[in-house]
Amino acid sequence: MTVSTTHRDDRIRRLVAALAPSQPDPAALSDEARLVDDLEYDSVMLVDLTVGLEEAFGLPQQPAEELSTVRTVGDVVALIERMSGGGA
Amino acid sequence: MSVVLVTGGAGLVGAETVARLCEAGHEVIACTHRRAHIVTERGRHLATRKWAEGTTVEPGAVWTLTADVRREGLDLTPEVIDSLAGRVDTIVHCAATVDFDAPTEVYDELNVGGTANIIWLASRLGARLVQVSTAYVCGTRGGEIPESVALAVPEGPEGATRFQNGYEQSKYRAEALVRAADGLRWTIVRPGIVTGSSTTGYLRDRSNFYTVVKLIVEGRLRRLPGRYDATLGLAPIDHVADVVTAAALAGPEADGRTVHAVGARSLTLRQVSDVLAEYPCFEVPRFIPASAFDAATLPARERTYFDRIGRLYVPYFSRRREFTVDGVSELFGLEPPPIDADYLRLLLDDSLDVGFLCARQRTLDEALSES
Repeated sequence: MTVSTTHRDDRIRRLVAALAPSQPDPAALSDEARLVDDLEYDSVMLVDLTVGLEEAFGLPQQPAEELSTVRTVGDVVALIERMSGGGA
Repeated sequence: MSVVLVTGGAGLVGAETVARLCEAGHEVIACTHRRAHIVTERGRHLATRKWAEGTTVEPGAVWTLTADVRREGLDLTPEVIDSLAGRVDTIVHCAATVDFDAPTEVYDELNVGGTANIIWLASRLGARLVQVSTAYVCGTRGGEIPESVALAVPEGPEGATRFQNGYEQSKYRAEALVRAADGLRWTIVRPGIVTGSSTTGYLRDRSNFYTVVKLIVEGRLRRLPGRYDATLGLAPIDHVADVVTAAALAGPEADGRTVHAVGARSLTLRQVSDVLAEYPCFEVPRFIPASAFDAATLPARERTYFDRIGRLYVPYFSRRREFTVDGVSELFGLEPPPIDADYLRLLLDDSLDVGFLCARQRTLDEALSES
């Protein structure tokens, strides 16, 4: 993993944590943590996360089909990696 | 003793139906797919045991069976299907997606294909079917929406224009399969927009309609196309579950009947707007004529919320309709709860109490600046 992907990964985790009601420690978020079941995200928080990630990383609006498969922190990281053009 | 099989047994309507049937002393098999636990609106986890023929279930407990309605035979083994034969005499089919923007394949597989698979199972078991549909199979129709009528819709692309979204069309197609099934005894229950309890306002899973309300009252959607005389057919969860349960336990008088599980009277957007204005912490939306609304003029972030969520609900803010509700009192002796400003206050108060609305959470801007 390069420095820039590590930085991106960290920022994604910090945003995921900052929007979660329980305010977990970003460093302690596992890839397996589920947004809804574990971090208590509701439907609006999921939209906020999407908007936040798009703004933070300058990404185009993601199609709903892409997002419907996102369940865990690891899924979010993988999606953003993919949208940002792999490990660049 | 006869057993009622409920698909979508862990879902919002399914779990409440399972709990009611169980409390009434009936043996229930709750089919679940992704979720293993059956939790009622009151937060009670029902005691469960895996379905196995030849054993008995203790009073107050329910059988569970992992099944996938999208698969032929629900992905059950021939042995399991044999074990259900002669035991299950009623199937309540709740399993479905209620998303308004699911891909077509999901509607085809789950809502339409799932119903086809359930019809097959009902026929294999010689069971009655209670199909949980939606009042919004009425699609784009306005005015008085009757019960007990198979709505005529042309096949193909022309038919699609009669619906507000793919969800409504999929539920309509599922109903059509039920009505056309040879020799099947069926009752169709059409809930409206499922909302909190008529006595407490509480709803375990606040998604769909609650999402758009949250975006509105928290000021993330400030302008929406809509008419103040448009109506919302709200359906308190307790009433919906009462109707589905009564339909499951009904005799031949309910065969071939379709009933609305919707509250008495509909709520107008004018009433909604007036009640929202009573709450100091709420933003009150402006509904403007569709002809004067242009999403491109919205601020960037509001535009995103509109594109992602708001637009899905626009059709529901633009039509005036009343669902007739005579069927449930005639067939089951149930009285639809009144839907009025007081009921809306109950829903909003409860959503404030549990912290769903206006809780002091980080805003997106705060979260972005911290991260």
